[in-house]
Amino acid sequence: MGLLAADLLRMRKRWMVRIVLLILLLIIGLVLVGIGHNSAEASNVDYPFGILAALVISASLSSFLWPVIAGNWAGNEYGWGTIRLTLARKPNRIEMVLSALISIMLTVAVGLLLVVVLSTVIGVILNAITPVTRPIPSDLGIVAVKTFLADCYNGLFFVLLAYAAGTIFQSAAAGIGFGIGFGVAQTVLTGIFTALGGIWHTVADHLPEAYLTALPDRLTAPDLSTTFRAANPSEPSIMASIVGIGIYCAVLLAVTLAVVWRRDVTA
Amino acid sequence: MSADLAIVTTGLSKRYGRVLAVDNLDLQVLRGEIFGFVGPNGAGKSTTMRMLLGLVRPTTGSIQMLGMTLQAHLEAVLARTGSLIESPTFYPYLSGRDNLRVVADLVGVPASRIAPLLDLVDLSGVERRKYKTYSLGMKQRLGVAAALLGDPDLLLLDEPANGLDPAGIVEMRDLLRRLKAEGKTVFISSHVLHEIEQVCDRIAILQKGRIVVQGSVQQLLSGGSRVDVRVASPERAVELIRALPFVTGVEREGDRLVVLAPVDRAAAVNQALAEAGLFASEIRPHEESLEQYFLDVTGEGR
Repeated sequence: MGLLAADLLRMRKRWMVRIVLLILLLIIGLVLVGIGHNSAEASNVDYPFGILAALVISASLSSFLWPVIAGNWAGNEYGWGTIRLTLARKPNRIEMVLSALISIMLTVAVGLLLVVVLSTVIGVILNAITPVTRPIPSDLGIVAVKTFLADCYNGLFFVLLAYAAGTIFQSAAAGIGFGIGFGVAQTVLTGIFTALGGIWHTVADHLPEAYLTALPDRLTAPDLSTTFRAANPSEPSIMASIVGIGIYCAVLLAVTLAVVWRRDVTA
Repeated sequence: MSADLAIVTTGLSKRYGRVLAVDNLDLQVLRGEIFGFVGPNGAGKSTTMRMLLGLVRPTTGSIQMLGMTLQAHLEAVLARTGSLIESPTFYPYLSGRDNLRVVADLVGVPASRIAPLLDLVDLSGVERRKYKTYSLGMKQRLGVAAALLGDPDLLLLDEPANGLDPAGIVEMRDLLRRLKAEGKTVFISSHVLHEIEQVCDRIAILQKGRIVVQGSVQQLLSGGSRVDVRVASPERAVELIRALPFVTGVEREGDRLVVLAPVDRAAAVNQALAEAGLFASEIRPHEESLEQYFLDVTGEGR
């Protein structure tokens, strides 16, 4: 608990974290207001549908925002040498990594909760201007909770990716760059592999992005218009996405723990 | 391991690729003493200290600290150990006080311990300033406060006087003596040999990863085999003293002669001079500065 308390104190005091969350809210706010002004899409952002829309947009921003926090967190420990401060007092390296990841994921969860609050406020205002005419499904609340958890799960992948890179290369820049770059590279590779067809198409279907995109899409499919989502009938199922992302996360976590466990701290 | 020993390393080695950073180190630090760990740059001091803190794993050898095997009881040993390794490392975006709150959370002590320590290291007025705005001396003092936060039995301090002004150095010296009086063991690595000489009970000199010499400061500096003689006619005295059977050599330093002979034969040297009508104005065991001794044993001065 000492490690987690120390990590959370640092997280609360870090301006970089606040700025990343602010950027997230700013983008979500602008996109929701923009969609609200488009009569064809406006029903997607009315309360309570706007919560789902905001969470889907948040999922697509995961690859740009969460690596900033995670890569920074891991790399700076080596860059500043503060890993000595921690390990010379709390030498359990596995606990150190898990505590850092829990802290970052709590921040991700707080960011997504703020997104839910913001989308609720915007949705309610838009409802007041143009009352919602769509029937509200009875299970929308459950779908919203599932999408929130799916966003956290997606976020975990990018957090682990950037944290692993920041740790392996002992550099915040490498962590952030690799985290964000991997997302971009995947999009490019998916396009190329899909176009190549055959075995390459199969590879593209199993890149993390396939699962990361499919999870929120599948969950929100019945409640958001198809133009809003990346409608792809061949995308993996919810269960396949959970397993796929889980396998990638497990590999990243294992690599990170192995590196941290074996490494001599010379920073 | 004897209950009197705070740190014992046995055959401790660390190899990085082809470089043997620490070579078969046998170190013994007594409980309640201030132990100096000195050596030229690259001698292996920092690597040794990192091994003592579990940051670097030894290639071979074992470490016993506070009566426990370090590898098996790392968490328990570190819970009773305070440390400041190389330059102090803290989070630059946090204030001095918040950095100590982080350390307090890590070592599991209440935040109420922070204020007295900030007073002790004279940082009370600047505790809310960001760490990145601190001067080197302030950073160093914060590092010492962090090392003391858990009220440890053993302190490992790397260059604790680094960046301190003369008054700060005197305060640091007093603090180390006070810690010793409280029964704590202090292990200091430093290049400031004058400071080591002033505060340490025993030292080890490290060179190329090996201990060249280890023992009490007093014993090492007195040498036990040199006698200083000050006499009016040094030329005649040199000839006379060289002829004595127990003297292995005489070095002349101005009007002072350094006689290479057992200290307990000083009276015999005096007697021989007196019988020849030469009267020594001073005769005493030779005392070197640690600096000179260090240069002699490491060959760095040649």
